[in-house]
Amino acid sequence: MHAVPVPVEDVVGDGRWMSQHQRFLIQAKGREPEVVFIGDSIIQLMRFSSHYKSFLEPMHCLNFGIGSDQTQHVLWRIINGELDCVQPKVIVLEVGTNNHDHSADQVVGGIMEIVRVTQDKQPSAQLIVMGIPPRGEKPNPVREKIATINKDLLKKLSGTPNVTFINIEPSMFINEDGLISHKDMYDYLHMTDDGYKKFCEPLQEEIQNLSQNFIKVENISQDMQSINEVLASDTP
Amino acid sequence: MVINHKIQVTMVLSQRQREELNRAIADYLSTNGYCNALTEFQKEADMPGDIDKKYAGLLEKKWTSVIRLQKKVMDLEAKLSEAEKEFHTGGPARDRRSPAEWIPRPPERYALSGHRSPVTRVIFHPVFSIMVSASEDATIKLWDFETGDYERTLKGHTDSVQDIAFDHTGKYLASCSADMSIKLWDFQAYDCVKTLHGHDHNVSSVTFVPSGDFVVSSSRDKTIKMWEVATGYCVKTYTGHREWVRMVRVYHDGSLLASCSNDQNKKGARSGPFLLSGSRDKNIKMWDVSVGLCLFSLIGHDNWIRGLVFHPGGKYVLSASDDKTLRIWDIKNKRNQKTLDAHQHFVTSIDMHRSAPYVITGSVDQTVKVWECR
Repeated sequence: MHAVPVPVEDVVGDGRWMSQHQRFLIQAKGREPEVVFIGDSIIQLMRFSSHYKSFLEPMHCLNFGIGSDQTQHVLWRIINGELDCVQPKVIVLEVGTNNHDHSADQVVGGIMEIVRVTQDKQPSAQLIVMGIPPRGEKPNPVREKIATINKDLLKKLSGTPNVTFINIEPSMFINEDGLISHKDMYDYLHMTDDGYKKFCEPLQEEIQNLSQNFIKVENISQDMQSINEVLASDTP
Repeated sequence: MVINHKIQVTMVLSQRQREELNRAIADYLSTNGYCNALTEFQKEADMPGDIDKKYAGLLEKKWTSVIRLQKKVMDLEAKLSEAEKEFHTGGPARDRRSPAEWIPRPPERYALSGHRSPVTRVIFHPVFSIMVSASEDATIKLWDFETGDYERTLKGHTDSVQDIAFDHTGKYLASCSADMSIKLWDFQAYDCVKTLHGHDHNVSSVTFVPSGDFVVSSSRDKTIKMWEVATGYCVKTYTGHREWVRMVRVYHDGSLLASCSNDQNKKGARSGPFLLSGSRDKNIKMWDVSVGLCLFSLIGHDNWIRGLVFHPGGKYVLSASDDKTLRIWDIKNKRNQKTLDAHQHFVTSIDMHRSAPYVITGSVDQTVKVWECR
């Protein structure tokens, strides 16, 4: 079920999923993040990209991504404490690409349920929901399903207070021939460092806008006047 | 070290900037076919009918300029760091400067690894050429800062060690931890001689009173406690902060306690002299405690301030920040004199030796660095 919280079953017998969840609970209790990322491998692997290290890590983040997670797994983790002790300004969610047994409608339903529970736990945080990136080297039915999901999320989430939906422009990864390059996604699903550079730019901008914290751009609490001077005189 | 100052952010455009913005908006409306809006806007903003070509695409360019500027700053800083590594004499010759003006210079003298988690605090021993580091790996490590040698590890805490402090003789080290305890270590036998229990949460700061008879601690349980060293008993608990008390320090004559908290307040116990504070709002502030007023702010760090220390010469303040830099501030002119790219990750702690020309820093990158001053 896409919208009923369910933990991942330890089929293999090494308990890795639960270990990660437990580690996240400890981190949530001990740290004071301003930004929390949660979702599947696309979120999880982001923390190893150079863009994340340069631009996102300075914002004091926690990354609760787990590879292969589907909507019902992320839902379970949120309900079972991963957003309990923290007080972030921004929460970033990306999930849905692994819900292979569910229809587009069901995936949207799962994501909407996550949005509802997250806002319930963290009513004053700004929630950024990311669209699902395309996958597969060539055009394929999964890409169509993802496009449908993103379109539906855009409709359902626009106008929701405290929620921002960042859609994925198809041209970000898909070229005119309809192909995705291995230079952006080494296995046509997971992103390379270059792929993450493209993916994270709109995300980084939104996070900074929402938290009113622009790194490396002069101390924002004072001196905004000198910034205006600099930006205004920037020749096009 | 963590105080959030509430400051109003107001964007003030000059007349020239306002006119330029209006013209850029007009160009945007025109380019995107919003003819009705354009006509009304030009009427209401009292603007001429034709739009100067120089404003073509300007609004969109300005809109994305923050991202471009950030990337540029990052690139420049990386280049500068490389250039500085190749040219590390910097500044006028050593013998022409007095010791009061000796500041840390890159590159670092030593970068010491050994901790397996972020380093939370680094301090100098008051007498010997030893420095001590505390870490989230629950250990305390001793190093010789002149030779760069690792000396030993003190084990005993079961969770992150948050703060460490020596008494003025250097015979005792106090440490406090997320395991909610405070430990006193004999610095001749390197043994833990007492463990103090009483706080209900993470103890984030510990310090000795000048006489060495008591230690003072502050905690996430919102209290400050005073403990008698001889017996290990808690003799006083101060309440008053409404949130986690991040740090507590004692004035050198013992008359005054300064504490700061997540509740954004600082408290001074009685009238007195000057206090320097650093905050998550990226500012360093100097206060006159007797009147409770901020005298000036030092602005320049790009991220949370994590550590502050006065230069023994009295001319400078040194700071450590999550922007990965160590900065030297000229107190008289209230400006950022020099910035060093100190670590690969957040810099959590800084200390300066009271008589020898050394500065030490600790970082989330798990290293401790020794910097020579000249």
